[in-house]
Amino acid sequence: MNKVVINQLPVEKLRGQRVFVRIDADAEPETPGVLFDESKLRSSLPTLEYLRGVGARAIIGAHLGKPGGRVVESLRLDPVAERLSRMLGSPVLKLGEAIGRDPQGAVAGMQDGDLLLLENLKFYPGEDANDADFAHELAELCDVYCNDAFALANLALASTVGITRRVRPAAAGLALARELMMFEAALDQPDPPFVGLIAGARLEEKLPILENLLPRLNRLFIGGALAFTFLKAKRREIGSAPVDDALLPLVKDFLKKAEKEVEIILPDDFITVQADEFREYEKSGRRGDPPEWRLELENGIPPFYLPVDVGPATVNRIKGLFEGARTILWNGPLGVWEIEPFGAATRAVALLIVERVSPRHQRSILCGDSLARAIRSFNLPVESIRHLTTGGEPALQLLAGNPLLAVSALDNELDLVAPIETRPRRILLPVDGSEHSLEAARKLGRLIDAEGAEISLLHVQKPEAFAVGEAWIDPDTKQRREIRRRQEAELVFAITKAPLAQQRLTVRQQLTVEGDPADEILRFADEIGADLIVMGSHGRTGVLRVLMGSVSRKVLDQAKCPVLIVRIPDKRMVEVGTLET
Amino acid sequence: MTEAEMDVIPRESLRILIPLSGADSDTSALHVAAEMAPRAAKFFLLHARSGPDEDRYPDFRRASEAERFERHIESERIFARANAILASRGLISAGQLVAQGAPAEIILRVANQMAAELIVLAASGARRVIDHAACSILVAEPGVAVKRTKV
Repeated sequence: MNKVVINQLPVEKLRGQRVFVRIDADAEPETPGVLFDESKLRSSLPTLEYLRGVGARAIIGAHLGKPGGRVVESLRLDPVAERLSRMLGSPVLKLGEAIGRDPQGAVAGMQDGDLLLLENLKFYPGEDANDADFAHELAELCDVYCNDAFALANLALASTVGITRRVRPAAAGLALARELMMFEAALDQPDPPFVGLIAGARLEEKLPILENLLPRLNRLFIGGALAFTFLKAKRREIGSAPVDDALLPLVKDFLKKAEKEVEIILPDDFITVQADEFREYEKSGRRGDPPEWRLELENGIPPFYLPVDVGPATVNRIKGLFEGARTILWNGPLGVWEIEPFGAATRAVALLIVERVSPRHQRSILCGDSLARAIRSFNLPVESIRHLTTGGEPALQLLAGNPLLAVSALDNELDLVAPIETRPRRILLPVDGSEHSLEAARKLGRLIDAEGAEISLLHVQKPEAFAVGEAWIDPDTKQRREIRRRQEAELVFAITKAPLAQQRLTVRQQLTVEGDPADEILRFADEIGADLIVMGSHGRTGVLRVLMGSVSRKVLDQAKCPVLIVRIPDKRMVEVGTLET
Repeated sequence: MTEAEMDVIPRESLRILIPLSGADSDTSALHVAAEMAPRAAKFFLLHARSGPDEDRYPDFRRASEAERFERHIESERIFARANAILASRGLISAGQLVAQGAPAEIILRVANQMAAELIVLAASGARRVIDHAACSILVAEPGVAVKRTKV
């Protein structure tokens, strides 16, 4: 993993330092009466214990539910603090707010090794919006950032992404790092044979995952509702099973491609129910006995019958796949597990993994919210599963080959050994006193983060055009001309600096040179190591469209650093036009 | 206060449009935009896909749903990578849009519609956008496109 993990930071970077730790405690919305998820809390204990051990001052950020950016009394984090205190065996001080004077005061009073829990971060609208101001206030509370919430890693929250703009170092917590490493082990260098079990529903979500896994897998079992479209593509009878006809051509393409590379296995037998009866049962809110089921063998599912689980032959097939496999990845349940008898296959395969696979030095990764819920509902000893991920959506993103936003926000390991040097930004602003160049000065602070930047003004004057015989001009005239030119430059600098000063931007140096403007701008930009050249340019003016000036064009074609072309809005350009006439 | 002075005061968030093509050059535009943008900026990502504008020319053969899905997946990947780059600087996009047609025309049209104040381009090769945009333009790697055409 190329991200810095909290225990890779030198201890002196943590001892006595204020470390913000984002954890996830939120329970699934499907579990009524349960306020927070204990297993998630437990997964963050190693990081919190580590921080306490090295004498850091841990400021814990978390949330519960969806309070929608306002205070909801029932979603206060006091029970989380209580539970954490008990788990850690030391007090966790709970604050009534997450930002503002109270938290600042509480943080200032912390001792080394103390733990403090901020109030529900989602009481603030800025959290979900990754708001820069809210992130800034959180950042004010700490010196080091640590993210230990894998289940939130696909989201850009103020406490997972925005805060990292202001706080360095930004490291992964131990639980987050563990999750990432497990997926990396499976996706980057899987120990073959690598068997994938991709099931569940939502074909449109799983197709990118299948595409991404294909070159890595040796055997692929496709199950769940997902399998129906694949079975149809293979011209199997699937009765009343729901099929995504629109995606059928893609599934056919996938099968054609995939079958050349890996062994694809589809379910052989099914547990089915009468589609009508099942619909009635669903409509009644699953009250009473579930519809009567029957086992269909491989000769296909008769019309008006709906598959709700796979049969024993398929489970046996999966068992066979697991034999000899070194890496197993399972996503999505195999049947309608929520209805008791139809979770049988999912349960049987989970049991296989618990009892047989894990002890045999096989690496197994189980992921997906639905599968995780199913497995927990079976009351199996889930601890013995080598890896049952805590995050559904982030896991799917990783499987599809997509980066996780909150992980991207963390420091790279390379930053530990060779941190990127930061210096104030150097901005070159060529000026000539024209409306365009003034507009560039006026807009600079709005378009660019120029706070603290070193701004250099460059005024390029055309070389004096000497008339024939004028070379012999008397020294007095020459000096007067010199003074006039200097005054002109001073005036240009003065009128440019006024709008800059209004934006609290200060000019570090100003220079007047003679020559071709574009050449001088390019030369000077190189000389000062400019990070940005800012040029004013014409906008479009009504009927008459003025294209960009030749100077800007040349600078744009040859500059070695970014160039900002500031345009005057149409309206003002017209006004300027009338002023000049 | 004069109108010029009024303009200095941020009345609302700066709306920045970042057109993406899916090419590697997207990366430099995103990095520069993320690094240079002021705190209150809002980033809008536009995947400008070149191809017939199916909305404007309905007679043209319409893409099948499967084709649309494949395109959707491609755009999603492009956005996912772009957002990861923004996130590496603590930022995130405020909106994402996919449009098909002539990329320069799409960029100009969308910039107008959303009242973008700034368009961030990877290279100065996008001459049509640079010449015709009504708003300011930030070019991340100015020399690049020119060098390429010289070879």
